[in-house]
Amino acid sequence: MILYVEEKDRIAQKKYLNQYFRLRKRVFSDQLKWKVPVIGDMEKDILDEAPCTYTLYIDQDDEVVGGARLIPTTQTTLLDHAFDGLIPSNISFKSPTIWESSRFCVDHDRSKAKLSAGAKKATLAISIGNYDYAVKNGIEFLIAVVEARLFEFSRNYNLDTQMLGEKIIDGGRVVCALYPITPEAGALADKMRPFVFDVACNSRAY
Amino acid sequence: MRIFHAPKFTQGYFGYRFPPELLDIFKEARDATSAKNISFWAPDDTNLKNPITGDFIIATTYPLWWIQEYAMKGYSSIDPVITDCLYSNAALFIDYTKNMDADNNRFYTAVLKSGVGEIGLSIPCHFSNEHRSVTTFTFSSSQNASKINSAENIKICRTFAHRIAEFLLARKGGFKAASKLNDRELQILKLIASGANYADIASAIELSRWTVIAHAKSMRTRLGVKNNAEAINIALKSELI
Repeated sequence: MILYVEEKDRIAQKKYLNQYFRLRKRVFSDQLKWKVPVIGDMEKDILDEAPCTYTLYIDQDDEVVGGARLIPTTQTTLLDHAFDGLIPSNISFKSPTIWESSRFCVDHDRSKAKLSAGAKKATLAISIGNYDYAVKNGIEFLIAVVEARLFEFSRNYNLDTQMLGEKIIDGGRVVCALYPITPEAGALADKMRPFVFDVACNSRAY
Repeated sequence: MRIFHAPKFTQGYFGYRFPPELLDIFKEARDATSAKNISFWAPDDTNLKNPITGDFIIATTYPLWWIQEYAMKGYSSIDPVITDCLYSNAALFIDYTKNMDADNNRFYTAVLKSGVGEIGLSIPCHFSNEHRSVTTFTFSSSQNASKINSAENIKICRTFAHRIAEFLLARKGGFKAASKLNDRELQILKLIASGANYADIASAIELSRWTVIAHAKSMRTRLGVKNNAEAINIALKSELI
């Protein structure tokens, strides 16, 4: 199931949010060795204090398997905060209808389920969840900093994904990608939806 | 409370003068969305911890009597536009003719009676924790609800909500300075800045010269300045005049 946690829901959904912050610590700090702020067993940065939305994927055992953070680019984003210079200065990405997806992560131990194409079920579920949220909220583009290999993988779906910039960070090649929220993306999401969501528990139920 | 009132998208006579550039944005938004009314709310940053009872900056095309009733009956404490949207990024679609339950029945009934619109689409627009706002577009029930709640319409409303918020929140410094003054002190400050002396002002607003001097002294105290020149300087910087 996909759960959207808005700022007003943070106390009520504290259990799931804390699971997500713990997962972020395991993925970004422990596994990827990124220099991210860690408090105890959680990873949280200054942007988590600002108005933002979390897309969380929760499995049948009521555990968070993955998630992402959505922030309108009219606010301070991770691109401003940590990836300054990744996008050429002549490209303006600040718009009320362009939102940043950041801290996208999946618990690889829990997310065993794979689809035939090789994509993890949780990764796809969160991507569809982000797409659904975008449609419901008048968002035209999602912008994200992703590993280059993930960007190349997403290009296989012919969704007009654009690369705005690339850089080597901590020895790895990262890409700033722009994902348009188009009818084509919607058609693909609808095609994949039955493979990742139960009929009674899909991402549209929010 | 700073209210910019533009009933039926025309300059109002209640509260502050509706900035003409902002009225143009409101009209443009109305034409692009077919909204019946548009209403912007932003809590004063000093009252963010209690947005329900705190002061608001409001720019609205709602009828004056509805604004007064809304304030008098404390609807902001049960209006989901205020209770939800100021702490959310998600658009909020409400068909006031439906979804009634015990909690919101009283408010929804009042909204329907007010005639401001049967359907509301509220778009939060926050720039930071200190700069939050929500803009509501209301529509007539004769319009297609699914079209109002479509991605395309929400996108247009979101773009206008951002333009409105950007316009008003950029002037928030001015609102903060203005909030220190009462209406009479602000009126006298504007007249002083226009070059009028105390006698001219007294004659123009039909008060005694000594009363005008007392108001001017109170105005300087509240702004924390020693003379009228400094007060005018603050007013100019804050776009009060």
